[in-house]
Amino acid sequence: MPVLGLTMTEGSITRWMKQEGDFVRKGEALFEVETDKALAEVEAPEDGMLLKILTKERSTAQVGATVAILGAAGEEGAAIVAERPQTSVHDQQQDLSTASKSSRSAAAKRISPRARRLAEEHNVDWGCLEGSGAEGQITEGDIQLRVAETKKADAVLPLPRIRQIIAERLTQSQQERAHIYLTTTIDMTEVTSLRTRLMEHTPTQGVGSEITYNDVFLMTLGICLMEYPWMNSSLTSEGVRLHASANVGIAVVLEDDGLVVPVIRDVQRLTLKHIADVRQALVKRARERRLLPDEMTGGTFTLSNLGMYGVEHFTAIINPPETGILAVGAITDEPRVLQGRIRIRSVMRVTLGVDHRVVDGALAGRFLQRFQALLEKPSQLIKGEK
Amino acid sequence: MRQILYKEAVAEALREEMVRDDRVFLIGLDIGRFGGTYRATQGLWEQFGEERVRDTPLSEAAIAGAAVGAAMTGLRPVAEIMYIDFTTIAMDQIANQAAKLRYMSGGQARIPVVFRTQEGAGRSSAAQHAQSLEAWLAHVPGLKVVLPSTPYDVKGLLKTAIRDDSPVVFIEHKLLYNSRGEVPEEEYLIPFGKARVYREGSDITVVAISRMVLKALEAAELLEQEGVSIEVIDPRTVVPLDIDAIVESVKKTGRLIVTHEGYTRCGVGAEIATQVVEKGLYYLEKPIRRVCGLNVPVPFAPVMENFVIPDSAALVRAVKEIL
Repeated sequence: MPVLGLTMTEGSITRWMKQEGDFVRKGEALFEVETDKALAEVEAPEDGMLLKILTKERSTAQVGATVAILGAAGEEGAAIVAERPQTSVHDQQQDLSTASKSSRSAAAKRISPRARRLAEEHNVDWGCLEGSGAEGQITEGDIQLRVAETKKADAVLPLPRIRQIIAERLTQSQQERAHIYLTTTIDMTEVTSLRTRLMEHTPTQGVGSEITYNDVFLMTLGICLMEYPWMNSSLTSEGVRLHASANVGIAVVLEDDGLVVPVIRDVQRLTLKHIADVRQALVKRARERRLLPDEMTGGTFTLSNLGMYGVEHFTAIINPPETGILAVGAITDEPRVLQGRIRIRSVMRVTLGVDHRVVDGALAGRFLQRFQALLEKPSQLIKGEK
Repeated sequence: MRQILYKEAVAEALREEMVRDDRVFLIGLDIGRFGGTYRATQGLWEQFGEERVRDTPLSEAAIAGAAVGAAMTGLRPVAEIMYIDFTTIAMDQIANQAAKLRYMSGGQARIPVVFRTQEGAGRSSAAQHAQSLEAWLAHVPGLKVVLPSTPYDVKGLLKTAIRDDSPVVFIEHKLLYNSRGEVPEEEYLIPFGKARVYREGSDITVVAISRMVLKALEAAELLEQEGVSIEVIDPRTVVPLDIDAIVESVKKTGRLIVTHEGYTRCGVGAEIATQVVEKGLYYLEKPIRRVCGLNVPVPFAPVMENFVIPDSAALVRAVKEIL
């Protein structure tokens, strides 16, 4: 009884295609086996006469058990059975597992000793290989090719814990929310020169925090979110919670893998300089994986910036339980039409993702328009900034 | 480096050892006044006199027997058997006496004798003067069997043979005597049982003996132009045999050809092939091929002689069969 599946322990013979005394050719169907999984025909392993059937139709045999005797005409089936050395079931199964590995091959296929050694070294089952040598002999090259193919095959790694959490949360967000996306292009020319000026005038240059574009976006979001409280909300079972302060999370990529979102609280109250300090400290701790739990919770909106990778436009999945997320692309120089003339301007594309269950596209559009206006005339931003 | 002939390397090794050790003497047919049929002992009679360079009557049994007796008494004879074909006449002395006496005397007798002889076809010397019978000698326990293929190996191996306390059969090749090669003027010894890799290659290992080393190198040149890389190994001594070097090479190439002029059947190549199967079967990719002398008496007619003795073309054909 051959092993026809990994879990098979016994098989039931449903039909014998040959009767005792019939001559069978190697490869001819000999009997039909039913397992818990399937119905399969078993071929004769060699030419010969079916001398004796030991397992009748509709009988069950353990894997490895002898179900029939195949031999030369004139041999006595029963005598062969009597002569067979008694082996334990375990031995039989082992014999059979080795046999099944090479049964497809040993008789039909030839392999060079060198190729056989290589196959064993690399655990290649050569029984299923087509030989490229003379008369179909399996060569060293065939095995080398197979080993190379195996190496090219996809690697399967366990999903790291952090990715499991990301996967769970983002899938949940995607399934629960009605995401809509709005994209606009913002002229960043003035912000760029303002940032340069601010950095030049920082008295503690080289000591304090460098002001990044993200800091400017955080500050701008603080203003916009206060003006549009529905964009700064969470949908709960009791209703829509409009948050009193703008706690903006910023997506930080970790060195090896994964993503964390530290939250900068009360950005509406912080100066640009202050935002830069807080942001820098949080990002540093995030990269060192030393963020405290409450530094990663309580966010009301999220900022995700892939501009440093040259990404011009992308969409982001909302970080639950928030309502909006802003995906920021790279700032690039482009020709723009200003007052009827073509100018080279620094521009970027931002895409606002919102939960349509909470807000409509029109509201989100006004929010985005305000965000754009503040950045294109950034002097309004730095009133009181020293 | 200085280049000299193979036969000059023989004479130089003999001369250096005779100067170094008074017990060393030469005995053989026409080796003295005549300087040897192949001029391998030229000048030695003049330098050392007839006491140490002894001409004998035409009797190989007597030459070998006298040498074995002298060796038992403490001398270190170098006996020349003019053609390996006639070691058959001296075989009792070589195989039953020289090879056995140390063993049968419980180590009391030592037989530090060297039987110098030459073999090989290619001169229309016919069936009794063109055989390569190294397998006869390699078969007998107690004999070391050396087959130098270059002047360099002649000098280094012959000096080692003379200093060895066991009987050594030193088999030169009649067509190599006038081959030229680099030989240092200073003294050097080549240990027995150390094969020499003449050419490194990655596709097929060719183990060649005596003059077949040269033909194997020719074949390797031809095949290189077709992009086939041949490793050529000369075992230099077939007893003791450097089987490890051969197996190491086969591990790399997976293919082996053994080649010698001696008869294919029960030849040294059969021994090498068997040992490779015993020690390295699982490194073999293709069947081993023997490119050796046909199992017939060596013919007189040059065309037929060329047919029975392998050449570089036969090696190229064999390479292509198992590539």
